[in-house]
Amino acid sequence: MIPLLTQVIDRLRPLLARDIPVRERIVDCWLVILASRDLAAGDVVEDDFRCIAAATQLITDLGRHGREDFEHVLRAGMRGWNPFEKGRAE
Amino acid sequence: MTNPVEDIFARVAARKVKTAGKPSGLPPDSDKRDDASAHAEDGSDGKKPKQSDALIRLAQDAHLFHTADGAAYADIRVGDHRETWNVRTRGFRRWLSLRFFTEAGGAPSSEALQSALNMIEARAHFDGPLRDIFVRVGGLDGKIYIDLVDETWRAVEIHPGGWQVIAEPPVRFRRAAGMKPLPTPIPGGSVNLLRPFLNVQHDEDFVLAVAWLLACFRHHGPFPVLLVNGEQGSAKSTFCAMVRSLIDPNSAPLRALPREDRDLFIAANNGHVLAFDNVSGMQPWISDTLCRLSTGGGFAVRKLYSDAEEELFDASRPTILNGIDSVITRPDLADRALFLTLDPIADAERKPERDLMIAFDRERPLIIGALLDGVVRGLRELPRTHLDRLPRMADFAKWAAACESSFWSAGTFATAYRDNRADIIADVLDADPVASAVIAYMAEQKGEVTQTASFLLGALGEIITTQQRKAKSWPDTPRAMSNRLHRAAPFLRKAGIQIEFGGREGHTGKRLITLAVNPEWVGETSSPSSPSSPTESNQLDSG
Repeated sequence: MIPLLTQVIDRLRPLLARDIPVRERIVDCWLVILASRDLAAGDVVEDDFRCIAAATQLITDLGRHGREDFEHVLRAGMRGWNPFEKGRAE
Repeated sequence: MTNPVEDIFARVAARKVKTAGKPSGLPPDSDKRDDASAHAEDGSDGKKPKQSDALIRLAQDAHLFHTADGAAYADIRVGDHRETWNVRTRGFRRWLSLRFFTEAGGAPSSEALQSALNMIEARAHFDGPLRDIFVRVGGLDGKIYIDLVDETWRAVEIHPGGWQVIAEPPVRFRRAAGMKPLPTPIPGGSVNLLRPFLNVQHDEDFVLAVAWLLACFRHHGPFPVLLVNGEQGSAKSTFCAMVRSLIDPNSAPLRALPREDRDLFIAANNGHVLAFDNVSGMQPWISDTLCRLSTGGGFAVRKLYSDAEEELFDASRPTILNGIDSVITRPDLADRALFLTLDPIADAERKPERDLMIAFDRERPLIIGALLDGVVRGLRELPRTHLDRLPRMADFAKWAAACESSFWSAGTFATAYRDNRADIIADVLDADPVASAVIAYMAEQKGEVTQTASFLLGALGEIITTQQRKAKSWPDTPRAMSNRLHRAAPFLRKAGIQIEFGGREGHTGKRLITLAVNPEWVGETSSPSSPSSPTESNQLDSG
């Protein structure tokens, strides 16, 4: 039985393809983090999303401070916040 | 049975649809949105002019300029006076919106306002001149200007020939939240009017307090840090609030020390004087940041959501700290400080703060007038002022000496400052376990010792108690010991102990440190201006 989080990550992979604009990719990534943050322990979920972001070059494509920006989005997603607008997402 | 993964992605898709059309914020694509909505709202089908165009046209009355850090400003006429606002602040928006309302009889849409502000900002950058902008105290062509922060934006112009209140100063001032107006100064007062309000122990301390105030009337540093000590109930906070209200009154005059240096520089950006209340301890980083603020320094952070842009904070500001303990223990900050001790107040002599402040407010215009007379004297005398020996804060000392003949006889300040520094040196050496251990060690050795940091760590460790050795303040590695000796060297030199670094031990190549006792070095004779000690001069200057 494949863990649900792994299935979600696999399903997310094509949405992070490099031919999609980077803004769309980071927003999709955040939406998926937001929806799947309860599928495993927090540190496991965070690690998996870090791995996929690195593997799909999302962090690289975010620019010189990509890691910092991605961590901000990841943290916000895990807490149910919207890093792109003011206020909470839910 | 539904697949939970499909569920999750269905929710993601639904949410994407819901948020479609909204800015994603990374970064917001504001220009396109503004234009699109402005067209829609303003009916840009040729029938009506666009609101944003009307706003840009109305802003043509403003004189636009920009500053070196890239901010756009506008000089605008309000009634019969001139005001200066950052284009992105509420003050400018309000002015523009009101003009639009007066002309069109309605409010502009926020999108149109945003588009217009973008264009006005661009004009300020590319069409407007580059100007300096100041907070409270500014300077131009040898003159000093003090922003009164009153409703008509007047300022005091001070030049070697005198001072007067003027309506439209040639320098531009920025106003930050919390800034309060200064009373219009009245000539003919005396600085002695201030003496009864300041609970300092000695007249020398009063001289130093006035010298610090006079330094605040300059728009550039270096500025000494004023540390006010005293028992609880010795009116430390009142002292600081009063002193601050003579140059940069604020609705929150005294604050707690900030938690990070970014906050400290933001506070410095929004006021001329920084005053911190009830300081009971100081982390090394804040001590270093206060050093930078005293002699001038910058701080840069990356602008959020950008790769290359930085937000820059560059400031040199007068700072006051008060507390029961002597919180300045690091020699580099102590070297830039004035220490004042306040007398305890007997219960019979205590006055209600409200009565005291009412009496002080009555005298304030005269006291400020007297201080301005001192500044006038300073501007006149500064080119002719010469000090035999320049102490660490040489610019401050020279300025205070230039101003002092307006209040007391020449040399009064220099004596008070020298005595204060001797007390500071004694205090700091006493508070620094490494410096105290070096003094005790050299008293035993009598002469010269050349050893490695590792040896000194062991030798000095034997002099102190086990409790001191286990304390955090005691260095635990030879490298830390070497750093601490570097830091303590300027003050140890004034206590008669010379420390030299850099020699190498024979074939092993270990770095050696030489400690030498020479009573002739005691005191300010080893100040940077001393021609007989060029090595010291370099070390002190670099501190």
